[in-house]
Amino acid sequence: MEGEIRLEELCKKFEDVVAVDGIDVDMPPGEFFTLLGPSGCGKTTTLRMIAGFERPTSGRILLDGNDVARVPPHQRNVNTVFQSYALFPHLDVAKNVAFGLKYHKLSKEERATRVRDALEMVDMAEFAGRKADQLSGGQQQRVALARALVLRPRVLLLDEPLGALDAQLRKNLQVELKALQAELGITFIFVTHDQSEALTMSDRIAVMYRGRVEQAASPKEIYEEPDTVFVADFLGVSNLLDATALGQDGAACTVEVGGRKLRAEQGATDARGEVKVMIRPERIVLEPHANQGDDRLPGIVERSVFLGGSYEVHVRVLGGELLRAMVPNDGSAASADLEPGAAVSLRLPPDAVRVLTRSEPDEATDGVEESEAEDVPAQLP
Amino acid sequence: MSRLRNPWGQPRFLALITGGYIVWSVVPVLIAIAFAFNNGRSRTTWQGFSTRWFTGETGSVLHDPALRDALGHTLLLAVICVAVATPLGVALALGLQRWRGRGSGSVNSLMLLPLVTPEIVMGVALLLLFLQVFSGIGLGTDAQAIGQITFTLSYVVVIVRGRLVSIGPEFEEAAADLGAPRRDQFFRVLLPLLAPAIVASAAVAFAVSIDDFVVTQYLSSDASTTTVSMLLYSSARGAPTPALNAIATVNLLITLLTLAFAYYVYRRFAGRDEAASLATMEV
Amino acid sequence: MRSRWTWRLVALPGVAWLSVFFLVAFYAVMAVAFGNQDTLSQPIPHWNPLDWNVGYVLDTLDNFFSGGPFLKVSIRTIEFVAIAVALSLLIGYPVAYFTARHAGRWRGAILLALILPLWINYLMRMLAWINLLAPDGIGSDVLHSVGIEKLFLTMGLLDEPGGWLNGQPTTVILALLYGYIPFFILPLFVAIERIDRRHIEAARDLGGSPASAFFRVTLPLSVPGILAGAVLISLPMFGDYYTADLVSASTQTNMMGNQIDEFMRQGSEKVTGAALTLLLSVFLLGLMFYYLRTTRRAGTTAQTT
Repeated sequence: MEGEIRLEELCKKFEDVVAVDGIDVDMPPGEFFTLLGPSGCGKTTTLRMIAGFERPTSGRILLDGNDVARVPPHQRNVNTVFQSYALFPHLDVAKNVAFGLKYHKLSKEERATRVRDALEMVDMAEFAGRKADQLSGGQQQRVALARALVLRPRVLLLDEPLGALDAQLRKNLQVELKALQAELGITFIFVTHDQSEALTMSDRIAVMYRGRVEQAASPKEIYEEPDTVFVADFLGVSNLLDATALGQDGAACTVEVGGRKLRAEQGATDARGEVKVMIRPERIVLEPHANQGDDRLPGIVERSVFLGGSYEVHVRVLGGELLRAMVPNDGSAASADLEPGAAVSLRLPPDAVRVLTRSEPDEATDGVEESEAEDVPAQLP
Repeated sequence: MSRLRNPWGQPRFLALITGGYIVWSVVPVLIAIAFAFNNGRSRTTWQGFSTRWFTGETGSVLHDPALRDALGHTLLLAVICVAVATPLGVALALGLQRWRGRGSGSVNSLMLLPLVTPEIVMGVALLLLFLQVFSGIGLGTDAQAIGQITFTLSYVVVIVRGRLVSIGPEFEEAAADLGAPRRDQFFRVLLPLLAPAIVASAAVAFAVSIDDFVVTQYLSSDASTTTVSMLLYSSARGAPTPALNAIATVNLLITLLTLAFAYYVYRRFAGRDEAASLATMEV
Repeated sequence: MRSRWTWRLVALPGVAWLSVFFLVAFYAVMAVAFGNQDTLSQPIPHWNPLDWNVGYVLDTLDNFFSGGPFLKVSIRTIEFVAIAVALSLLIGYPVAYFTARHAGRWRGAILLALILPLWINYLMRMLAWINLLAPDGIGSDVLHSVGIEKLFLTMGLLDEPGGWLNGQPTTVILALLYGYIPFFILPLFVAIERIDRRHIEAARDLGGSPASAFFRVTLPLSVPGILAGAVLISLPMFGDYYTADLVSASTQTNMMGNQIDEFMRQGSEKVTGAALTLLLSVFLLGLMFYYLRTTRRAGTTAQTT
């Protein structure tokens, strides 16, 4: 299989800070795989270890079955697109792209052809003679891409390549990158902290937090079936509620939230005692207050945010928590129900309610922050 | 942004002080340069324009052996100094910048010490070194060169290191990523990017060497090891001719040209802001 | 992958050089100072610390504490340096402030003018003044006609008309000022420039007058720059001998540097010279390390605070 990466118990320590805490990840060949997480979670360190710029403290990095953890970066068939593009300032675009071809035993003509093809692939052929400082951010990024892809690596690593670009450019490049990956069929390993970017582009996502992989799955699964509170919260609104799990009744778990009983059919339904439950905003059904009955929480609307195609309605339920519901703007909801102060009833369908047991660490002080910051001494192998 | 008033009144007052300072600072030297072109022997009374003290038959920089030799010796020391201090300093800068683990702090301090040590302390220390320890070498040109190298080294390191910091590790990483082995990372990527700083630091070392006085004097042996600075010192209070002004002017010209060259090289290849900080020598 | 020793090896030649020609050289000073001298008054260095003879150093110290000539010279040196630094601050701060704040489009030219003296041979700058202050010099005439000479005479700052270059402390101090003030202004300019204008705007915003904004915001924030500049110029000044030699040529204005120079280059008592050098270094050690500390910290933070 070409371009498969497996990380086994991969660990990286800097002085006394643990940046990557023994992770196991499978990155199948030919996929667009994303490492997603907040700054300091270890995603960039992991990527750098795959590239070879950091030496793992322990663990294995298997590239198509071979452990490359101690192989220097210039001997791995893996190429990187850097966050700052790192185009060589003293060389023009064409020479930048041709840089790595020197080590590939090609004739002069073959080199020139490959360079041209690579530049055409990223639409930068006319800029061949320019220097890096004469290009815009988006253009530099393309050249960086071409420079890496011209070497036909099995795996392409991308370290937050779209971070420095403005929103519109970002969206366009997201589409282009995804199309490029599909066309080339090679493995892309993409690092980002932007969850919507990850959801849009990836075939699989590994959500990282504090050096560990919280969950690795498809975007849909990560969004709809998060394993932990962190993952639930990181991707979209999660509407987390503190609850007490009372017991199971067939497929459903009965939980008590603020004095009311709800049923949950997702997640850790066999849990007991203190848990958290979550439901995505678009699964909450907003009903008039008059509707009572099972699976409902009464509340008062605090405000409604108009988003064009929908409303995000903030409802303070009688237990005190704030829930956010997504109501489509299709006329189905009575406008009176969306006014601040309106009394409403929120129906939470059991198949959309998920029980989560992992305790929520304090996110406010992320001690791992330092390991990803720039003042960690860059360790050239 | 609105112009903030200063507490002493209008900016005009400050402008006056600044202007006055600049005049006070520069004019005496300009007058000294002017008198280098004096037709007569006086350094205080103008007697007409002439270049006799530069190129004249007798007593000029070009023809007076004492003056000529001093200039020659100054340049000789500068060339030796640059030839040794530059590679030594570049290596030290690279090694220091990439030093991993303990010791880098001490080495860094050691490197900076010559810059803050008063010259007489260095002069005395080196004098005793060459009298008591390396008496085989003794005083003279070699000792002078060694002494100069010892502190110009620091200038080279500071300049090159500054450039290394702004270059950062990522270009070499990118090169490695693209398949370049260690050697190529250095020669194909780092060295070209570092070149302007190396040239600039060499030029600065040259200029510093030319104008050095205390260490050079302390390590001198006889008249043949006299430099322009030493000549100025020994003759200034005597009754010299404007030839002294002339040689000082020549010295100054060489210094300014060297520095202008360094600034230009840096600016052309490394960017404007870098050149500006080079000029202010932020140590 | 490269070992941790590769880069250290690259640095080795430079480190070795500095170790030999700086550290060992300084050790030689100590060996001589704690050594002995032969019948021809040539030094006999004692290299082994266990052999060290504190005699000469103690004699030198004794000279200080019992009011001998060394003490006089030291006090004079401290006076000269203190006054010169104070004057540098008085003149230099407004110049630095103006250049940083109000120079506008003239800034480049002004900076050039400020940088220039740094690269003009120090001795040439002194030569310029010797020419001017000679009894028949232009400077002498100007000072006479403008009345400054008279002022200085009456204030006791000048001994006789036209005698600027005859052992006058005033001239030495002013020469030191002239010589070193550029090295003060430039770092100070950089420090003032770095002060975030938003602090000042905030002070003004909160109702402060320009004067109070200056005294309560700008000035305190520029103190580190002032200290750094003061240390930067006082270090060489304490060791200066050539300035006094050039503009005074009288032992009346001897600074510590002159004292050491006499012993080392002109006289024969190198042991005492070494002892004095040692004592001077110890005295200045504090200043040197302070400066190293602040510049290293300044390298990693963006603001002067």
